Amino acid sequence: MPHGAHPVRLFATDSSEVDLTNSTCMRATDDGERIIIPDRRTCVATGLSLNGALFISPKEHLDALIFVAGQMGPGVMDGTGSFLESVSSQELAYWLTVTDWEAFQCIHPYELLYKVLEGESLSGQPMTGNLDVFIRRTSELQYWAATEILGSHEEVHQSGCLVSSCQEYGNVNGALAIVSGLSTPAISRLNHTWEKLPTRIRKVFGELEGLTDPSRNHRRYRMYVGTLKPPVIPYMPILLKDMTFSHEGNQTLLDSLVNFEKMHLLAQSLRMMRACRARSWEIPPPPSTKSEAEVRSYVTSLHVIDCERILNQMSQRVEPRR
Amino acid sequence: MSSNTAKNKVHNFKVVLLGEGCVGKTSVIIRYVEERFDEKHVSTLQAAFKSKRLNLNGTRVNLSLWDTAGQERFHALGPIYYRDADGAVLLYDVTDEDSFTRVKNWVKELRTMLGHDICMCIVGNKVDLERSRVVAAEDAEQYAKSVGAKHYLTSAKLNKGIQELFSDLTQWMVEKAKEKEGVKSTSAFSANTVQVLESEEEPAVGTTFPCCG
Repeated sequence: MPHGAHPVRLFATDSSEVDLTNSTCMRATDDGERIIIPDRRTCVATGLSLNGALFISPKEHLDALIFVAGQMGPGVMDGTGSFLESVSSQELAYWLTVTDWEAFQCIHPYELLYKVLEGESLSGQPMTGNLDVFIRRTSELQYWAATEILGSHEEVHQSGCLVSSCQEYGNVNGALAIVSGLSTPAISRLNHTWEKLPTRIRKVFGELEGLTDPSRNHRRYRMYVGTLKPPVIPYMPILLKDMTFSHEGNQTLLDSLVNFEKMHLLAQSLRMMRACRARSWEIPPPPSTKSEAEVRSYVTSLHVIDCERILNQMSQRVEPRR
Repeated sequence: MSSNTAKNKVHNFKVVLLGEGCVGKTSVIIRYVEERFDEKHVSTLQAAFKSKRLNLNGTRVNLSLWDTAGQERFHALGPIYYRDADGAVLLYDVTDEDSFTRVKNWVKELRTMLGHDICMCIVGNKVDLERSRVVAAEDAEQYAKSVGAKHYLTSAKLNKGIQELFSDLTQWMVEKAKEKEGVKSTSAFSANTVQVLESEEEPAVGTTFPCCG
């Protein structure tokens, strides 16, 4: 929803008995951190962090707020190992990609521009809702990989198969999100878990991790994506980084003349996104081990822990520090 | 290695810039690397990270600066950038308390992951907005000291403090590298004479990533 902080408050006043017009919107994170949302902010709901929650409170009561259990994300939890064991990696990758593709397709190219210009005054109502949803999805996949491994710590092997299937389906974003999720400190420190991996799977991770290597301006990633044919879901963080750099590194106006070179740079990124979507994603589902509805509902409602502190605690339990 | 004397060896250092969005990471890098251009010069930058060659009292240094601009929302990406980094510049906006909290989290993560091998500089940017400042310099200074980091104040807009920041950091990294090699530093690095030789778009050094094991 493109709702800004102000309309959200008015709506809340309408639907409750309390007058909240003189109140403040605030988001809470897993860690219990409270962040006040400025009134001018748009897309409040889609801009929340993964397990973040939206609260509306009269200004003078902000300090007195107490969160009750469950309002700050799930806390320590178990993985969904039993489900993951019974579904094939290819099938999981297929439905993950279907879901990601749907979200990717909804993004209007201008949303990327608005995101990069965030915080600068723009005329009209810049809408970034669809892009926000996709960014959330990417983060969700990252933390999902980490959460699952710490929850049942036997699934690194399976995630290896999962990422290569995602890659085959053209879901570069999904594959790299999972790989980068596995390089978070909480997971990368688990030496025993990594040692137990077969060489073949380690190679898969090694190659994919190579694609996230930022040296020479993400050369490896760019070369790789260059060889792919659409439909492809590109790695969103790099696309956003390119655009941020093009924007911040170059002046828009020079002596009141438009800097066309800059506009070309930005357009290049948008064209790249369009090229990825030049053909729609229509691949028949793989042989199924589970009902479509079951896998779909799993991939659209991933439970994740997005708090590094909790992840680190879980990691310590899996493999205590020597 | 032993055949190289400390004098003619080129040090390659990787420096990562971390911080909340909008604290001005990219402008700081651009200010530093593109310094030789005058204001009127039109230079359109590709989306690249930057490298800069320095000569620090006869020691040749190649700095690669890795920027994470635009990727703040993907926190899990941090390790990709800071792995094998020799130095970290942790930026906050002096007018934004949250951005300082974020820096503290980065410090914790870097110390856990890289120990004390990394030289950390905590940098308060946008000091040109002195009037709306909320993070007190003394607090930041004290915090930096408590975690073994150095504290700087800069303004990318006014080009204040940026040269000092990077030359001090480079000096620190050189000293650390020499310590590691067991070579006693012979010359005193007291003078702040940094001579810029050349800067270029692409760093020549590629970093290879070992398998995630």
